[in-house]
Amino acid sequence: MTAVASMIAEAIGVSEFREVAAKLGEMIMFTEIWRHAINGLEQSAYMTQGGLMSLGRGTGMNMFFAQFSQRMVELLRQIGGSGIVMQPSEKDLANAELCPFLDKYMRGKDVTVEYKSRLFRLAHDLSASSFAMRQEIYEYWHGGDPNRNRVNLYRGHDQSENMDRIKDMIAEPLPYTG
Amino acid sequence: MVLDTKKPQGAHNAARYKESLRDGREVWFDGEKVKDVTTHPAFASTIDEMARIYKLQHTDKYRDQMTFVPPDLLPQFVLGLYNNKEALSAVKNPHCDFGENVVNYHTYCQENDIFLTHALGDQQVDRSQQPQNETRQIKGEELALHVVEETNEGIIVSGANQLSSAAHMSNDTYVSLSATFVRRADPRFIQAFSIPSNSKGLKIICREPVSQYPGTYGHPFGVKCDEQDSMLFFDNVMVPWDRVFMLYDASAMVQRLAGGANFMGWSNYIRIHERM
Repeated sequence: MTAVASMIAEAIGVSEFREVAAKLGEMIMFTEIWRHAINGLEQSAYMTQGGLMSLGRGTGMNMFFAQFSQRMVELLRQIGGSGIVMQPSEKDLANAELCPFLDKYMRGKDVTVEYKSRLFRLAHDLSASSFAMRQEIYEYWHGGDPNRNRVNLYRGHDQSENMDRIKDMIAEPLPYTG
Repeated sequence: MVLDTKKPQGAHNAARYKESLRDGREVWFDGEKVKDVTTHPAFASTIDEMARIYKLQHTDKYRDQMTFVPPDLLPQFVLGLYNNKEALSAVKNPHCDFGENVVNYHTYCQENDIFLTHALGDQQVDRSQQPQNETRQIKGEELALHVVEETNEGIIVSGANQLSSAAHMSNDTYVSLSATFVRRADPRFIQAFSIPSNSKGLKIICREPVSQYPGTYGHPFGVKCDEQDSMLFFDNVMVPWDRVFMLYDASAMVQRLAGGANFMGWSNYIRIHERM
């Protein structure tokens, strides 16, 4: 998705616009965090009691992704804008009467109308078509019910050490330094 | 049907995979029974894509990456069960040993490259009255998947389960309870099993495909990667004893889900990374 968004931005000459570059940067931010998270999960692999190799616990990652997946798609839609919504079809492009107008009014920056329409229609299938919308619902739910898993994260996370440190901090008055 | 673990077929290829789907399965689409999912316009393009991937398993370029010599790699869902085989065996049943069933089934999947779909939850009828609500009022017929009776051959189950991706193009259908549904007091609703997707009485109801207007280039993902989402209806389906992994007692599954062993995550995290 990040590469598609970047190609779109270049194809319509907006990649140097500050707000567009910042949105592309946000997509790369999520991608980079995710790559580090996978590495961390592999590093925390362990042998189970059943004698098999397991990755570390992935609940937090699942819930993080359920949250930011929609943001990735939103960023792609925002960068693509109107081009996501309307592009000529292949038959439009093949029509001799229509083609000169499409070439003139719907080409991109240094790219042909054919390239631009195919690229944007691919972006449409990632972010706006019924395939994309079904995928958005799927990504939210398939790692398990996010609310249930957040509750389980809270209940299963041992915070006693930090809590003890905080209790120590508030057990005694601070020495008077005035 | 006793699991045939004697004649392992090895890695799927395109032709064998497609042939395996022409098995009399009961797939419904838009009000009609589908005669052949591999040629039906709603399904053919995604099945072709899957067949293309199976074909790659036998190419010099990808053979080493995509195939393995048993016992080296395990199907992910079955792996979670395999890891808990002792706990599954601890629940006793006069007809079979659930842990042993899992070990045998895992071998079967591994040696035959079984394409598994799964369904893990109750349908959206009245979520306030689903089986884990112990104070629910039972009104008439039970809708959630449940055991109707036991026979010498296996259990007979009826009810519905959802939501199953790629069920129409799978070899076997794995049915269990996710963490949301596993804690339920009524033992009739507690079961995990895996059956052939053409089992008699199993109805696979597909939704309309995602956008596929055939104008080329328009829907590169919708055309090739629509994995479908199906409702599964079970009308007195017989589950052989050697395909049952859990029955009436969910303690092993609760332990598995709480244990945090993470086998399913990896391919998914990599998929997500590639999608980003």
